[in-house]
Amino acid sequence: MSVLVSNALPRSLRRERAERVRAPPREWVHWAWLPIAAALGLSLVGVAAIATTEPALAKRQFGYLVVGMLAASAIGAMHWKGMRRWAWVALAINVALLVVVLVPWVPDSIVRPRNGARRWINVGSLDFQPSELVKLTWVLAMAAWLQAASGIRRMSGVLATMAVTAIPAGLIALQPDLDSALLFGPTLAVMLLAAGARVKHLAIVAGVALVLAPCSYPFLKPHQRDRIDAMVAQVLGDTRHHDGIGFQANRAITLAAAGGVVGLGREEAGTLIRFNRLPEEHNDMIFVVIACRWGLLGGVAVWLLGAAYAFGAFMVGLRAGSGFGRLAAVGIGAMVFVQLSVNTAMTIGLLPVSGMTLPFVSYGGSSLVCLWMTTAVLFAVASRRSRGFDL
Amino acid sequence: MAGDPSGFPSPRSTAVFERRMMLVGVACAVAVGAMAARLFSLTVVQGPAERAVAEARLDRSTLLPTVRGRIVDRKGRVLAESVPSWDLAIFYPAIDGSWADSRAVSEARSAAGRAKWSRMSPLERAAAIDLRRRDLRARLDGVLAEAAALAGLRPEELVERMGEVRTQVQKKANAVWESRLESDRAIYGDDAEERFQARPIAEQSEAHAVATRLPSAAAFALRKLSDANPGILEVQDSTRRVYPWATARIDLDRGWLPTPLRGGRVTVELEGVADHVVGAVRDEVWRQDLERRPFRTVHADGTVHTDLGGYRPGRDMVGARGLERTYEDELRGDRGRLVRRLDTGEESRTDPRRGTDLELTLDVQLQARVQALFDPKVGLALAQQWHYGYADGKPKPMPFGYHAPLNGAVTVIDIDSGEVLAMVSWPTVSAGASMEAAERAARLPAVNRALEAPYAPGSLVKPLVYVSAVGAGVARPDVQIDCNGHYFAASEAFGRCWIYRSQFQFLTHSKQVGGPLGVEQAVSRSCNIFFYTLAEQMGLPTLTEWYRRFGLGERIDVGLARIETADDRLAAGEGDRAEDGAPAAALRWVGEHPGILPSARQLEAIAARGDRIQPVIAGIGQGPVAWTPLQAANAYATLARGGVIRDASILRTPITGRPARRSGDLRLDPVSCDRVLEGLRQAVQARHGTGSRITYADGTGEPIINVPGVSVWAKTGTAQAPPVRIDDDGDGAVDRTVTGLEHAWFVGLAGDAGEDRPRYAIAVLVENGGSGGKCAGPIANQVIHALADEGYLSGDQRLRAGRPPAQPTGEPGMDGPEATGGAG
Repeated sequence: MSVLVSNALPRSLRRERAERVRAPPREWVHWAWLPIAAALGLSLVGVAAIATTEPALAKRQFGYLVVGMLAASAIGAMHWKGMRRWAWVALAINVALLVVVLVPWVPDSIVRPRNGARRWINVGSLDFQPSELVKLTWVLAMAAWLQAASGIRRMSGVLATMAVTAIPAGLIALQPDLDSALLFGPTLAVMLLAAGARVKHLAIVAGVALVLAPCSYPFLKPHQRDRIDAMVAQVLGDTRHHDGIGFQANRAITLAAAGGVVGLGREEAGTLIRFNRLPEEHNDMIFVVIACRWGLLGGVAVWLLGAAYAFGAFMVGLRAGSGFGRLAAVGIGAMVFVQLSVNTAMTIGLLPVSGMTLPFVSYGGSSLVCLWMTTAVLFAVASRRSRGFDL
Repeated sequence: MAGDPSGFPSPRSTAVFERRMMLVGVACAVAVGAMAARLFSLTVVQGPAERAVAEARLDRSTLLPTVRGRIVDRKGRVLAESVPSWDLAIFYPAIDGSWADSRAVSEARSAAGRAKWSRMSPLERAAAIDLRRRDLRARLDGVLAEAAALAGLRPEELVERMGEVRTQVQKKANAVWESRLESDRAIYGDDAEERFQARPIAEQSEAHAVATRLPSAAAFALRKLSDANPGILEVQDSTRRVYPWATARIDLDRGWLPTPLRGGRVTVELEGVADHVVGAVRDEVWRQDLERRPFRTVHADGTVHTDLGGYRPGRDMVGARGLERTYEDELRGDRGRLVRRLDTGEESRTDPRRGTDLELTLDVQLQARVQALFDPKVGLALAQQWHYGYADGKPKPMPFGYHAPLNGAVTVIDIDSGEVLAMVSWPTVSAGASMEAAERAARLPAVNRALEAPYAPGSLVKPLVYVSAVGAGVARPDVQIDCNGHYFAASEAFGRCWIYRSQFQFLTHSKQVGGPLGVEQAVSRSCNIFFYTLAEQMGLPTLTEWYRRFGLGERIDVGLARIETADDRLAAGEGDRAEDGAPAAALRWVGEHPGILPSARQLEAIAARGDRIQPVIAGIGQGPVAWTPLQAANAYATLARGGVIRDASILRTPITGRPARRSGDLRLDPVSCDRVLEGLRQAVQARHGTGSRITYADGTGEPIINVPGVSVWAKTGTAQAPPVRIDDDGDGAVDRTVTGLEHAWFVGLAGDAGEDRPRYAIAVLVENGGSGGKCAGPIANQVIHALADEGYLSGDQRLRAGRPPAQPTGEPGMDGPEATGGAG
């Protein structure tokens, strides 16, 4: 299949290209400021929400925010063409790190298990999650691939992209972190859609996935099955799991509802959350804290910020002068928005409880830094919008 | 894009891209809209309710126990009381030693410090833990030894009991895990074994009682020990119910008994004085309690209602029978509650409400004296030959054999107030506990014969028939009727007077008195014909109505019966339909029998078929008429009051919520009352009276009533009893049927000498006892002696000395034996 086509150029254009690369024009008025503003807004909301119950962690999160923005500046200064060139290498290294995390012979000093999951690589006093970074490197690699791929008009092309995606996704699922692994699907679908794949093919794949999903239930691990059971029970009004596997979901819904329209304010929200023993209140369930403290308005604000981020990313993609830029922006926007939606839907009882965090808002250094780096890619793409021939 | 090797977004691909991104945008908007709608529904629709739920979790509430009400008799003697009691309980981790192990690990780790601990090798760690574990074990042993000493146990005893607890808990844990594994298998199939985690059961972290009923001093010392050594032992509250009169002892003077039984002092051990009345509690809550009065109800709209007096599953004191059960809600009281807000620490307190004390009209000393009369050592409640009499010089056959134990009941009522002074049923519930199963099945000790079992009244109704006939205008007080021996001209065998028999040479009462009888003679000689006549003249419907006015056929609600509503029945698992499918009555009484009267349908049927026999024999208390000893005493009390209705009651404490009791005045003709009382007096005092003398085999005799200084009016009754089927060998098949039985009745009215109206009504029934006067009479005589002993009647102090009271020997209540009526 003619997926990878070499960028063979007529000699005449090569010189022109070399000139262009030497003096790249940089723009400052572009759509990428919208996702940056949205990201900042979400990050600050996150710091405030974490401070409701854990002021010490809020301070740390603010520190991560500063680090993240610094890292983002570094990435934003790069040219996206460099990213395109090194995307596959970065992905390969990242996949290797994922394997390192999984391999059982690696000692605990390097891969420190937490709550039974092996996801973090110990770097000094920090823990770094390869699975967070692979989301970015994978989007860039896919953008690099799809920007020149003609094969995606065929079903075989679509399947090929799925096969390649399965590698990082599968490694993540083995950690076990099924929730993050499932993010890849919708993001890939949006990227394929943007890249020009046939809607019919995508619809077939989606339909098959929907049919096969319930059949995977017996293959799921017990705690994953428990979460689905708990959610079904919650929806049906069955209260028997409320103190067991449904505890988290039940408390989340109670506290989110308790916030009312305008929220309860810091004191009362903090008290309620603490004594109702909401688990994971500073990462997975942070949206509940927002809904409790700022009410329906707070929740809607988060969604609006997330929508703004996605909208901004899509506009960056629209205005991008290259296939890579367009696809990278769309992929980034899709991934962040899907993660945000899944997390909020899970906290208010529309989906089974999962370990997915709320981007920019949840507590977590690697996640925040990687997301800011991701946002910086948008900036890089938007600020060097090229017109005309650009390879 | 797609297919474009230059990577350049062509105008066409951009347009496609825009269109597709719009689609994606719409999808995003829909997703956000759906989630916003969900959040809206949560916060706006469910918001306030969920907020209440979340805020409710900020309260930590502790329940404060209350004290169950006491039951005391009319003189304040305690019959039932709750006493505080303490148990020593050891936590399970201290029993199986894991307390020392887990503490050793945590102490070793904190002593080494986190960093050093993570660097230590497993061997080093094990050594550090072992060192600490030995010390902790020694400390644990020391604490347990001290606890054993304080609780009054030998060390080996404590070890043995801890071993028993351990075995039981392990057994239970295995059973629980097995059943959890089973239910997991049902859900997950073969995977169940691998994913099953044997989580510790609750009992493996709780404290278990090893020494019970410790006195307060020991409990205090143990509590100090437990505070100094947390996690090893605890002192638990185990308040229990004591019944000081559950056993008692009395020295009986047998000097006034019938001659064959006469003797000196004898000590009688009483079991269960007044236990039919007082009842008992159980210590477990049952499903019907939880359904009738749950502690916590969640209504359909989500509100939660807490009934502080309600039942929670587990251990609790719940009335099981008798007054403890009938007045369970009043005796129970309400718990208190201490609510502490977790965030602010402020507390609010609802004080517990003590249960209502019940004051009874009973006099427990009188009750004890009366109950003692039924003891086999006394002989009054054993079948004696003189109960059944002699015919032609030969003793009549005794249906159950010589000295067979008899069942019976006594009710004593104060006529002026209607208060029940004593209510004895034999055998008592406690006496039944020591019987064999076969005997218990035959004698039914759980039945309170004084008010739960109906018996044919026999001749007892005769005075009532007379005053009813006068009241109905059918006869005049000075009516005179001829006794010719048999009522129906056509039959000499049927409708006879009891005296018209071969053994009496077919005597008639008219021959005895030389003419027609007036009521005094008819009552004292218990002439049947007199009353057959009056009954037929009244007609059965009128007679039935007058019986009803005297309290037959309806409950008089003495205070023992439980009233169950339809809700109670549903809670007990019964439907709301009666057995014949009709809707069940709104109220149902349990525990007091209303007696039996002919129903309207029966009256119609009798009239329709022109039956002359039923109306006639109703006049002597046979046919579809039955009453309980309580109703007997109550009816005679009404008669003695001249018709004023003041039905018997056993409770002095007013209780709200019970149906109103009847009141009124039958306005009996005073002349008829006087004349019938004269007849009753003659029944005792005149030689011809049926209640005057016992005659023995050798022809000698003696008065039935021999209490000096006391006036007694009485009526005897010998009522036909239904045959008894006996299964001798216990194989479930009836081996023989005993017929010809008669219940022995004696209703006495007693007052001080010289008074013209009686003060007390005493009804004595002996089941299948034979002659009323000879079997029940001596018992009534002893009851009157007991009334004199207790000061209700003065008696003639020169001729009879008061006899010593009974001593309760059950566990004393809070205020010691003095409060229960024992020796101070």
